[in-house]
Amino acid sequence: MINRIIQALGVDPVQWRALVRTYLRMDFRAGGGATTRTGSGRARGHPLVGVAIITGLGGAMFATLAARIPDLLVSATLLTSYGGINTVMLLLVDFTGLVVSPDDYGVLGHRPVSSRTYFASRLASILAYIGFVSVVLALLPAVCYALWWQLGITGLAFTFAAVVLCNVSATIVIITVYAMMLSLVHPHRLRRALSYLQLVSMMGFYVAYYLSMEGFRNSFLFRLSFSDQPWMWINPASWFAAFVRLAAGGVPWMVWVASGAALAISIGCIPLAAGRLSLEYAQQLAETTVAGEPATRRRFRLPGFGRAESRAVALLVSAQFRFDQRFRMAILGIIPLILFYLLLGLNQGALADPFSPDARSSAGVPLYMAVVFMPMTLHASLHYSDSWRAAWIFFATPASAARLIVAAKNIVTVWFLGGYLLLLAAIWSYYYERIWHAFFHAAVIGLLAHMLLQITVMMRPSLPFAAEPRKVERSARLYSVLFFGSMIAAIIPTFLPYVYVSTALTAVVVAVMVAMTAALEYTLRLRVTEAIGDLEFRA
Amino acid sequence: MIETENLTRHYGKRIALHALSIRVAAGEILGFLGPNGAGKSTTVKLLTGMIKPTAGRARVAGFDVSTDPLEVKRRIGYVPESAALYESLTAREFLDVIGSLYHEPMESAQQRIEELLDRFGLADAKDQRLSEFSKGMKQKVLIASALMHRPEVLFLDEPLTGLDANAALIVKELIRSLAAQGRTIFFCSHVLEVVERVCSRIIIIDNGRAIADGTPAEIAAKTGARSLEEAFVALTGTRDTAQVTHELLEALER
Repeated sequence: MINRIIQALGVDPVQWRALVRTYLRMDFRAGGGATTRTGSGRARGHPLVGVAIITGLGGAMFATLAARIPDLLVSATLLTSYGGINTVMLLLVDFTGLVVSPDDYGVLGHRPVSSRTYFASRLASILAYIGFVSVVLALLPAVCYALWWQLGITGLAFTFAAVVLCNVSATIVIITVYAMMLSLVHPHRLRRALSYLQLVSMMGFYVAYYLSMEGFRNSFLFRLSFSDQPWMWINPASWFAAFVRLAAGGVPWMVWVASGAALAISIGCIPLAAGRLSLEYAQQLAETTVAGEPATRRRFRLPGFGRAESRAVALLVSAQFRFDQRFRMAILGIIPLILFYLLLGLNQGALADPFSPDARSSAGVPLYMAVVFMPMTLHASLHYSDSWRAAWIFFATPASAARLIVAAKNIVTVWFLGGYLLLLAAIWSYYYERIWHAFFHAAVIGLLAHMLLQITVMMRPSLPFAAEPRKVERSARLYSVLFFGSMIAAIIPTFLPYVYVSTALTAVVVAVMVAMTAALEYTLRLRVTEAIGDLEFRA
Repeated sequence: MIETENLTRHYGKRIALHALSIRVAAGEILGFLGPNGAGKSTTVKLLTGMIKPTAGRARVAGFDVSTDPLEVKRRIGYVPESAALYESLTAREFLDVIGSLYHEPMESAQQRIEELLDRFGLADAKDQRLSEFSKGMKQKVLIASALMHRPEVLFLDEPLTGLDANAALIVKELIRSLAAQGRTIFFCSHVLEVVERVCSRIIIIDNGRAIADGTPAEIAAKTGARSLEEAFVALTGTRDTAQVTHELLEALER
């Protein structure tokens, strides 16, 4: 029966089954690269567990909203909107890992696999993953609608349908857009085009994340009611949310129309993507992942890292940025985050001189979020690479692995964190009573961020670009950084005003911070040397 | 078995292959030689249907690679130059997947997988992941995967890379035996001694153009060389090796 349906779609059922089995198997196995003899160098457990936990926490948040917001359609729209944005973010961060692997072309290009069969198997494996994330996200809100709203089993089923279909449609739309860009734009230019797409969508994700956090903090989400506003239907996620409203019964005609539109999108977008996701697509993708900027361009150097291991890592970082699309997109994806938090932080009173007694303790939380997120996220990005096999050089040369790891941390500190702090200091200089206040304050939060980075590296020391990217691992890390980073960032502004109460106290606190930095650096080197003692290369 | 007519491929403005017209009969072992970047891999990718020609046409096993790529792919086996494998799979799993892609019946496929792995000395490692395999072991898996479905035409791009002397001997003998069964072998290699010993006919390409075609002895005679190696150097315009070596050593001294 299933075979007949698959055949009717022009897909080879035997090949489809074999490929889906292979992709799922590959997704759940650890990759290669630098690892300890016992394999403990890689993350413990599958990254999918991390994504499930963070998504489940998101689900809990939306279940709370569902219980508190009196308008069912509003809470369901918030849920499906978040689900859709979350899916887009997952796909863009992990596209070559999640949707199509550039390796496919090398392995399958000369095999008798039709583009349609390839598409169907890749789509099945990605939908299995997106379906899993969707079910985890929808679980608690669905239970809430079933019990709190007393929608029963219908409410449960319709909530799952709304979230799953919304996320599946978002997936297919992203695949289609990506494939269209790939067929229209040359790989060299595509890299740039994809970077812009990444920037826009990351911005959307951060905005949604921040607004939901703020909404919770200020409880304004609980008072939201816009289901009678016609503009709410501009958001396609609200069409899927209409399913949940259907379960409540007695619905206006617009909800029926919206549900029908959602269903039509879900069914209609599959053939839209079907013609695009092919082995030729995988070939183009393979070209994209290795396509760099034209060789005539002047090489970007990282001054200050001119000797031995630090020079090697500095060169690697700049070269990877030019040639490794995955790394480039991870770096560029942080820019909107910084801009967003910078603007938001400045808007919320972060321009007040902290030495002034009028400075509010909670001012500028978002600004500190960026200070915390950026080095942690960047450091996580240095871990993986499509060129992970080249990490043999760290093992075959007399390079000190400890120095390589510390050099990677220092590059993040000096070039990325340092640049951001200089920008902040320049802005503050204009508003603060004295210029040195601005630079001193920047140095203090820089010390704090650096300490956090030291702790992050200590917790999981890893050689730069030496690990094989695993499905969703990057997304899982991003989620963790966002989640735990928010908590840490919220503490900083409550502590900072006390630093500037008196000159003596400021001196003591800064001295303590410098001492702690030095102690952490010493411990970090010891820890890194110990942790990498039995590191070996598997490829 | 293989026929090309003015087969051409451009990469942007660069011409990777220019108007290649060749014919390879059933049972023939064709050695396809050329310096680095001459267009060998492009030719193989065109003939295996992995990329499309910019101009010209090619037929493999009776089918046009542009219009019937799937029919061509069903009848060919290919050992690529780089070890393109799904490395998180075990050797047995990988060959199982390949068998399924060619619609090999499960039982006979399983039997063939066991036999191939056993003959290549991989029986003990069959349940290890390919990422843990050595280069030579991966090469054996690639060769096994190319033979799984008993192809009519076999494309071998540096098939002896990484193989130990014993395995290399077996593969060379295997190539001859497969040709004796009437299968066509398209053999790309830089190891001229091997090509000279294994291939019945040789084509040399340079800058995307075929510059010599014949038996090793014919090519050597045409260029007035004593060996295929000398003929290759003469035809492809390699610089004086002694001079290059001297310059390299000088560079190391600086």
